[in-house]
Amino acid sequence: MPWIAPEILLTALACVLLLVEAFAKPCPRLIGFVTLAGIFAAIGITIATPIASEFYVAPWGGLYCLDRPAQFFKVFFLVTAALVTWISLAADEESLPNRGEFFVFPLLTAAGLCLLASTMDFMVLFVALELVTISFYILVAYQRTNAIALEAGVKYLILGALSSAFLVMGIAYTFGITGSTQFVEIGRAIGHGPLPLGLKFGLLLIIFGLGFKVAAVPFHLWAPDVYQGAPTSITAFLSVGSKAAGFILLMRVLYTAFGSAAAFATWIPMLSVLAALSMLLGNLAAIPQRNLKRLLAYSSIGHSGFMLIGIIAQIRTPGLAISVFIYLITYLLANLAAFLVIAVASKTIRGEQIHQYAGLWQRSPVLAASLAIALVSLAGIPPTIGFIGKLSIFGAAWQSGLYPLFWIGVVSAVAGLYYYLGVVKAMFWSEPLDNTPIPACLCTKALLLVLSGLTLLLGFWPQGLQHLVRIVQS
Amino acid sequence: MIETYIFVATYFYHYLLIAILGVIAVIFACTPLAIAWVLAPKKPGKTKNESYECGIESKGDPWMQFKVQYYLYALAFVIFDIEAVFLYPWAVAFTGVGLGGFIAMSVFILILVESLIYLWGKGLLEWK
Amino acid sequence: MVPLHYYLVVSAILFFVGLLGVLTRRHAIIVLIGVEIMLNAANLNFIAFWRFGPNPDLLLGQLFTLFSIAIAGAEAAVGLALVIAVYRFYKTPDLEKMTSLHE
Repeated sequence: MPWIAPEILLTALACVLLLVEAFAKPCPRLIGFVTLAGIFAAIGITIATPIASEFYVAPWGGLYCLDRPAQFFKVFFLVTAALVTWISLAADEESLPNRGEFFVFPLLTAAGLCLLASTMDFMVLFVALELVTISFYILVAYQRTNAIALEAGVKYLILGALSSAFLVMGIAYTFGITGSTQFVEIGRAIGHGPLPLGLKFGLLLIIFGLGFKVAAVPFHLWAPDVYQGAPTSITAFLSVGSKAAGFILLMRVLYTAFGSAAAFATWIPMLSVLAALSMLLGNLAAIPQRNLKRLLAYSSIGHSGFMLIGIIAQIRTPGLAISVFIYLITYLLANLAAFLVIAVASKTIRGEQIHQYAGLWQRSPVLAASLAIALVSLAGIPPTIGFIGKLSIFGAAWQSGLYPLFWIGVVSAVAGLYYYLGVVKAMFWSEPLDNTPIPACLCTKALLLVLSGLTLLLGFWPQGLQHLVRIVQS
Repeated sequence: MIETYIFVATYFYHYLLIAILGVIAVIFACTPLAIAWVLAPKKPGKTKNESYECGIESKGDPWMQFKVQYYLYALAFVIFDIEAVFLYPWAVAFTGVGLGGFIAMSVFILILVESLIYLWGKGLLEWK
Repeated sequence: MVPLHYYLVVSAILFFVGLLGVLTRRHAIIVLIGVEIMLNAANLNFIAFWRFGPNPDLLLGQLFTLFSIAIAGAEAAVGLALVIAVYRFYKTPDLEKMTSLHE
């Protein structure tokens, strides 16, 4: 079973590390580095695994597939997990791992995310999704003596469990009408006829559950509080890993299981409403925010809206789902760089309020420049990769005739400029509260250089991105 | 139509027996209490109204809080509670899974054992 | 035999009872119980659909229910642990008392 080797490796490593931590009690940093090594090994295995067929192989009776998108998302999730582990290592001693136990959960989460990337069955989907979600409940509330973290943990737990219940109910109705839990079989059972009422209801509940994962607007209520309260590295993981997981699941479920014309007529209007609301509300609600993590939470809600356009565009013009992949890459680079800066800077400035970041340029030029590049990229301003992402999404919307969504997207993106550039302005053109320099270790600086460098380089040279994406598409 | 009625009637007939049994059980338990309540003389006194706990006077508030360790044990119990949910169907219903199923269940048990060892390593099995 | 619709109605009622519990109650444990009721409503649906489905020999609905029970157990364990941590800190399980967020 070479296909599932990365998941097995990560889970086994987590089990071993848990026991080693309980009995030998090694230095937490050591466990962190072993975790990193394990994740890199999993990346290597994933890239080296050959893809048997051009479309997909489905061993074990269609429960699991390893196609190009699955491979792309696995590498995406593992890179995210590696960077998150790195941020945890670079972050504050008191705010993060006082115990090596912490690193077991990124490993388990990464295993669950990898499984999600190749699921072709609702049963595997549910189990893997819960592995990810339950690990996140623990991670969010990891600083269990901190009021904010506890509150964030409880909110995430209750709303997360609620969304799981909706998802399972939706799967139950889908199973009841079509008699199967496999996406391909469900698609076959639906055929070309109209959707029965029960199936429409099931689809609605499933979109509810997955909408919670991507934090699209009616289901976004948890995001600002949880993003603010969780440890910064975990916020980064949630905002990139958990969101991307929601998108691969939406693609698998909506394209494979609910891929008939009658099903499109049901879910395209729903997703269009979600996309429009997410873009508008995410970007407008971010404007008055004073807390940087909360601001990024609202901005991430807005980004979900942009990516949902790509999901819809694929139906009108096949092949345009690729814009979601491009957007996710840009989102990963910018968001993780921003959270790395926040994690390192909050060691010294003790907070995430935007006014505390005033004059960051004078206190640490590297951090300020990296955060500025990340924010400019998230805003989608030309010389960065974020512009390419926005361009491909808006291009997809225009090409497939989604004009209302296109114009709502443009308006929201313009509104987004205001708050992103407000933070940049505070960092460069405001007087600092105090002038103590903010230290950052060499490794952090090197990593920031790589992330910012890629953000700029791929912005100037989008052919590189196109090349990457062409590999995924083939 | 009449066949369906007979089918449904015989189906519910079995439940009817259980219901009758239940009613009889309730009557059986309540009758002595009712008779005692009617026949017994009623002379309440201070000593008689005290709560009786094996002849020893009970101390403290019955609504006291439990030590938080009880909850930790309960959490550990939940882990092993789930075990039977998988083992029992594997033993009884899913008979065709062969060696692969055996290996999968062994891995499952090993992970459960690991969690027990972990609890032991963390000192959770000691009552302080 | 009891027809399928009866099960579906019971399951829908259970689901909304659970949802009502989650939405109206403020005690963390009761909210968790509400979520568990919702999950069990879905399990009942699975079993009913499996029993009345086209191929009950496949045991698919039962299989999903088993996984669902196990996962609900794991979720309950983590939830209880979190509620205990909250109780130790806030000295109350009331969700409305937790208002340290919102800046």
